[in-house]
Amino acid sequence: MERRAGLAMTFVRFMAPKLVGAVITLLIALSLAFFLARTAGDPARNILGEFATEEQVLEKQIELGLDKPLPVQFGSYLGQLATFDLGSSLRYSRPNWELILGRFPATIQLTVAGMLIATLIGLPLGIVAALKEGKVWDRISVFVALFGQSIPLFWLGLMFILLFAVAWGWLPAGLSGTWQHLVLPAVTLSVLPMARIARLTRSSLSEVLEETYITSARARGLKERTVVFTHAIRNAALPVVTIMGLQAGTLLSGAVTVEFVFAWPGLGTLATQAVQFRDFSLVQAIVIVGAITFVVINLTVDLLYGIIDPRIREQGS
Amino acid sequence: MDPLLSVRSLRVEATSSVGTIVAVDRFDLDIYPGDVIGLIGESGSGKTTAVRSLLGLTERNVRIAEGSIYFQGEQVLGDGKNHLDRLRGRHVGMVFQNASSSLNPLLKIKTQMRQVLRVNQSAQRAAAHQRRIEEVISRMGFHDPKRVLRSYPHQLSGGMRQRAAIAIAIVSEPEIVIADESTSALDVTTQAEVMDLVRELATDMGHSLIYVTHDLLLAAEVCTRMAVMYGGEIVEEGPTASVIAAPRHPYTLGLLRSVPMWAKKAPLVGIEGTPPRVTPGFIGCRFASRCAHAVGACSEADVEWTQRRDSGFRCIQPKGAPLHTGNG
Repeated sequence: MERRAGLAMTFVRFMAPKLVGAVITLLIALSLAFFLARTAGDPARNILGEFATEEQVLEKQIELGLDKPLPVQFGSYLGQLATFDLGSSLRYSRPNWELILGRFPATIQLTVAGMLIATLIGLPLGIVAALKEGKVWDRISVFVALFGQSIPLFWLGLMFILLFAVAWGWLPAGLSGTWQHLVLPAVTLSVLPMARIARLTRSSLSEVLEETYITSARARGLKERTVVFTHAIRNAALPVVTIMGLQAGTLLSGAVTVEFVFAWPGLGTLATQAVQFRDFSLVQAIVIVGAITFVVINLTVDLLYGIIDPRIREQGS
Repeated sequence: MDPLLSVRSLRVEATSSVGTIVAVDRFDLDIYPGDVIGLIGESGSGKTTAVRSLLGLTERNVRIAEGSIYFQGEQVLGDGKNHLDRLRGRHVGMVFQNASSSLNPLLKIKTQMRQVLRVNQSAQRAAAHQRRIEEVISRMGFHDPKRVLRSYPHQLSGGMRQRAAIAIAIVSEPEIVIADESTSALDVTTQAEVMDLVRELATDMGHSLIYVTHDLLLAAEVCTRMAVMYGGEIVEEGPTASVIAAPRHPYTLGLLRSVPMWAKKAPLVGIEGTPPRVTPGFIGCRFASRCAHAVGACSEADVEWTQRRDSGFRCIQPKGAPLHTGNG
């Protein structure tokens, strides 16, 4: 029991500075979201269009609170955020959080499916490639990685639609609802993370396999399976965990291209529309949600680091 | 008495982009129960490659080109067989040069010891494994053996890590322990402690030991026999006392002269030059290019092994025989 409490304390000491860092990161991101939304010209004029009179613009500015000095605006913006108020959409005249929450499940569904496919294929591919360096599987994995990282997603998505939806009619071309709707966008979305995971797993694992402790594990008579799975893979996992976190973050905060191609009703589509309609309040809210998502994922990655490597979790103490 | 391990005409080649190098050649060695054999040579002499080959643990570009190995009379290498992996852990334990890199950083010492027992003593129960782990670790001279067991390698000092590595190597009671430069990375005081431990293990616990080192002085303290390697070959082998008192090979003599303690009144002499690159077509004595006593015949044909009772050498101009006087 005492030892377990000791481990818990190690984790608290390890994570505390990361949490402080996360809050600071979040504050910076929130400030950036605020100022970026105001650098694309006067929102009031953007909304009303170029033929509005000065009077109309002034009226709109007062309505949106844009007539006040910037620091005052920033203060009330932070005040709102502190009460979890993300403001209201200018176009839909509804609270932003309601709009975002409406789209979040679709985005999560797509992200989870995409990351699952990417991991289930990318990880084994990378492992096999590292174990059979220079052999057929290695070449296949290198090809997949190159292909996945260089192919434009919008083109791949369109090709999928052309083949599987238009030509053969096996799967729906767009929108959501059933698992069939999920297949094409999820597969399209998985291509880039899969390539990155496969490539990084391969390089990280083949590096670890050259380490003395691997030769040493073999010298102890351990089965090759044990050597690879309990000695090598865990040591090779850190960079792979990092890239998986980064990719998941990117997908969660809206896979704009893929959602657009498949008319998937997720955050990416909402963000595209918000930009098109100059709905700066909604854009700002989406950026904030994206920032929070990234910060949470980074914290998770940090925690995983600590779980995987005892040396890392003890750095805090 | 039959030898535990017999190595015959082992030849190991390393291939790289610049060509093939013979890392180990004509390597014969017999290890008897209770032997403490020092395998001595400078870096690049092939000693590490030789002992790693005994377990089939060579790097990717290195291969055993020929030779046979017998363990307790049974052939494990040669005639199309390669069962060297069967020796690993169960019959031959290995302690590497630097425990900081040979212990897995993510696994506790106890986990690493338990893994060895699970695979090599799979018939025993977990409780027996636990007893064996505690018994072995308590002999390593730790103040708090229990704490060591539940530590990760980075939580231990260099000397403690090396002792933990020894514990892992001997936990499944192998007949032979190979210690490859196992104390070179430690400071002198710790080195002495670990050496004492190694010696104790070899004599009290009945393990045979192959001690690989470049340090002649250290080897002389611990080893019952010595094999001196040069250019991939064993150039001299015999009981420690006779190798040191009456070296036959000029290279052994050169090594002894470069040890301050033994140089006595004679000036401390280094060995001029560097070891040759031994390629497959190499003919003659590997040491000829650096040897003060070399004659033409040394480089004309490979030098055969001369066995005199319990020691032997590979030289046609051994010390003690009339030396060629050259022009003078």
